[in-house]
Amino acid sequence: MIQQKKIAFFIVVLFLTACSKQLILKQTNISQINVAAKVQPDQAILDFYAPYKNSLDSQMNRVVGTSAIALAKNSPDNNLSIFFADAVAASCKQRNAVFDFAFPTTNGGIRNSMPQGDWTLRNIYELMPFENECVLLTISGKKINSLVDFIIAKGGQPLAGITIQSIAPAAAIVKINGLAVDTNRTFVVLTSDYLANGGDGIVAFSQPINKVNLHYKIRDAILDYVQSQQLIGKTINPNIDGRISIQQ
Amino acid sequence: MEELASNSRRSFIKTISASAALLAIGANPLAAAAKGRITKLTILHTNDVHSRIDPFPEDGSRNAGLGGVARRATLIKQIRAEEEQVLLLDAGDIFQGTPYFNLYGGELEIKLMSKLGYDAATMGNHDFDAGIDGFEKQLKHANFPFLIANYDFSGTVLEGKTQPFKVFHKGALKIGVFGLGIALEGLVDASNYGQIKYLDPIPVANQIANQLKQEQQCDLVICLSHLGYSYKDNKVSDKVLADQTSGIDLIIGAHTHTFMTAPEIRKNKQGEEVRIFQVGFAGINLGRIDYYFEKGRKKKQAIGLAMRIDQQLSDDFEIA
Ligand SMILES: [Zn+2]
Repeated sequence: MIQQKKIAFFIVVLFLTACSKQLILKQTNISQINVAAKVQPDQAILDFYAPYKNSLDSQMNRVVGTSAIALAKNSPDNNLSIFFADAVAASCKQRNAVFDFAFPTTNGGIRNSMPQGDWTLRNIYELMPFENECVLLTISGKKINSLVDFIIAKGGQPLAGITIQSIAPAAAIVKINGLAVDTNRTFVVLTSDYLANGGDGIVAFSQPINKVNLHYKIRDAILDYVQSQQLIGKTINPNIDGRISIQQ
Repeated sequence: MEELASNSRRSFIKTISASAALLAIGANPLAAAAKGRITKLTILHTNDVHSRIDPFPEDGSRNAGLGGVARRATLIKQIRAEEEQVLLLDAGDIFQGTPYFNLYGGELEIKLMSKLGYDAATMGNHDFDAGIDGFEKQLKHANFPFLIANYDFSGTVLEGKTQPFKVFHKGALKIGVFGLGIALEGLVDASNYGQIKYLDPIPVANQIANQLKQEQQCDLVICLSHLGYSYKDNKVSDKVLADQTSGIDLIIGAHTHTFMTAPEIRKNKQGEEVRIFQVGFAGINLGRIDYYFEKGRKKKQAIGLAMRIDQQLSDDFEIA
């Protein structure tokens, strides 16, 4: 499509039509029109929202951590999903939550990419703007198959503690903490209240054996992880480790 | 859409001005407009602005430096100064995405839309992110109506506070605008949408579009849709809406954050043309469609474009 150059352009597509049948003119030309002009921000609008902006900036521009690399979700196994899932899992473990694996959001719930270098509180909010809370769901091992099918059908999801290698349309090698899935036991999944309440229609999460809301916001879990790394002088640097691979 | 995109690559021309391009196609609505036979209507629109009030920060990321409500205001002001009849519309997901929403609950988004002179908007799923109450609380800051025809708000705090459609009079023109929302179950937490009943958008759209076209004799019928452009499965989308209804001239879409460079033209169930246009998200682009109505004849022409909101518009541009 359109190259993401830091330029601006107007594209004008011309097409002609008529709503009465005898007057239909067909599309005859497409051209791109470039207008050399500047779009300056409207000062009255800037002035109007300055009080809101100043208050927000004073709260949100605080640096909370640093990343060695830019993070983006551009493939099934990507550094942004890995960071997100690992951060939420680490913070919940820190709070003594016990679970087998984490699926804290769907890809659609990751709302922005993260830059290389300093991260501000604003970056954390834009990554995870929702007020969702961490939930532990106990589900039957027999439901893992359906969960894996959902994850593969969606082209991968943010995961920690579980690896999925899809090798053919209906076959995948799944390991939870390095072990093959024992369908006779139960598993505790760390997820969000949104997904646990039926968000995105994950059938495996409906009617769980047990459900515990940790009353701990996913965003706070991410923030706590980032700040804990900053505190020990570590930069964020997630490794793409092949935890998920999808055979097309 | 596909065809338009490849076509635009092939016939890549650097032209000097819009009027030159219009002359090149052998029709000249501008000249006719000068003679008073043609009435022009300019429709400007956004979708999925998601609380993006400041431009994206200059941090090297994909959308760095793009968008921003103050620049959009400048563009809108310029266009209003140039054009007599302008309608400014939004197709929903006004809320959620930057801390402006977390801190101020959507108040600033709605106040700014009022200042920019939006004529109407519909509701997106994320407009329920602070619950029905959270949305209702911000309605007092809106000087424009929320149009939504397929949510039944009976028994909720929104009952009677939105309207299914509105008819706008612009010069001699009558423009009917209505709104459609997406199915909320599985998309919005049940605690946030409460008692709202979602109604099948297709029969609702058929009924309202025909009421606007036939009974109200609107010159143009616009649907603000938060259904989404298209899906792999048979879930209702703007494409399905276009194909299975009649009476709609233009669907201004949202939800799927689809960057279209030009409106897609489809045929409705009576074989008439319907346009679908959606301009990405976050206020990166402002959509513009110019309609030309010719007096005495049931004829109209349209020109559509997506305008990139950037710090400056340079000579250098490229399509890849
Ligand atoms: Zn949406």
